[in-house]
Amino acid sequence: MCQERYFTKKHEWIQLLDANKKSIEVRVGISDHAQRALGDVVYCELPSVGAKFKRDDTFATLESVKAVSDCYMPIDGEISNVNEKLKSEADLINKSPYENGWLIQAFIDDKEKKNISSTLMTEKQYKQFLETNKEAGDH
Amino acid sequence: MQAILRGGNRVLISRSTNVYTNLALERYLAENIKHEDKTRLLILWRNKPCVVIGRYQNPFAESDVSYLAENQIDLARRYSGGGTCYHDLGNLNMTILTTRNDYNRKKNLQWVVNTLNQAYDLNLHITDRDDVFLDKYKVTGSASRLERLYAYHHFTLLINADLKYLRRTLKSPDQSNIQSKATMSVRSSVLNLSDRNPKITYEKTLELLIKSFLQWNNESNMSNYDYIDPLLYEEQIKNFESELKSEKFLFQGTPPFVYVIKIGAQTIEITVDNGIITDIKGNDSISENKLCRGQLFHSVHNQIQQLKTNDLSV
Repeated sequence: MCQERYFTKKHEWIQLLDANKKSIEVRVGISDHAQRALGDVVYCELPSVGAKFKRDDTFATLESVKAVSDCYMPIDGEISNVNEKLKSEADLINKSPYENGWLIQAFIDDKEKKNISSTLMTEKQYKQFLETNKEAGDH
Repeated sequence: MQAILRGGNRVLISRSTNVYTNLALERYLAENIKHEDKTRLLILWRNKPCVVIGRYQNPFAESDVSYLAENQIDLARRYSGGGTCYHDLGNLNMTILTTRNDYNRKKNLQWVVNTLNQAYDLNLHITDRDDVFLDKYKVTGSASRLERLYAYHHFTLLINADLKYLRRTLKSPDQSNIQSKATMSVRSSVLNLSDRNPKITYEKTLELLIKSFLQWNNESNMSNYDYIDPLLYEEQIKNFESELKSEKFLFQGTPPFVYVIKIGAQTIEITVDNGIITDIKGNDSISENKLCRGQLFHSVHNQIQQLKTNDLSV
């Protein structure tokens, strides 16, 4: 089930889910770096299942320490599932950003699947990216 | 018209005192200005009496919505997070707009605190919630919004606001009835700066902050501040303004909640999602009640309050 995660410069991660079915499904969340920068998430606004987004579109909004921030789609996709647990436990995003605190799942097409590895960063590359951008955005 | 959107270190002072116009103007500027790294835009504004709730708050839990309507006090939901505040002409609002990378609430508040402490001989300090306190009284509340390319941090400053109104409008009769995950305000005792030093006025503070802001940002041109009349940008800001004024955004933008009323031994539970009643439990025995699924909660709020007061006569 656990495929490699890829990361965006805006600190979202995307992971391919087990492709047994006909359609390609991914899971999206925010990185540990992002959740630490945000502080305690107190509210999470998620999209509806079926909503379609393009890469870089805002698909969710989080509120933490009085700041409202948007989350951006790493690639084009159609929402297949949202993490309902976040409605009552928004801080799962802080406690478990890669597992229980995932935000959405989406159907993507073959082209987008290829885009993931060609346009986004691997975990190793993301770690290097964080190193070289240390002074960026302190919240 | 384009001049208003240039980047760099600048100060803009809004001539409007309408909360919807000012919030729309703020959003318009945030989304359209050519933000430059390491520069800041300061927007100074104030509103005639109104209550402003945070993006994910419940207006019924935070204020006396009926009282506001009866007294023509505007109710607005802003785009940033945080809690509820009361604004009037004795409260100064400041917005500091930067690129996303340059967003820094502590630095902004440090600038304000240093400026005011020095000029007015005060002892203001910043808390870990990014509020500014004078002794144990809150004088400033902060909130922010972060987007891909820009971020803004805005905050209030109580100079000589009507604190009686503040307390009255922020006292919600529904607070104990509402169960929800909406952001809750953290209440504090408040104080006007002018209560501590009667020489402090809105006009003086405005002048002081403009000068100090430009100095802080090493802006050599001390007249780099402009008054802006939002009416001239009506076309550009009208979409945001309509959204902010709409009942849809104001009431239906509320996170899901359950409104609970206890009438004698009976408990009524009204479930509200996106501002619409989606379920009612326990109301079968109440004969005069006309509540039903599909109604907009804010349209029947008065009837719901009636149910509560009827209880007292039982």
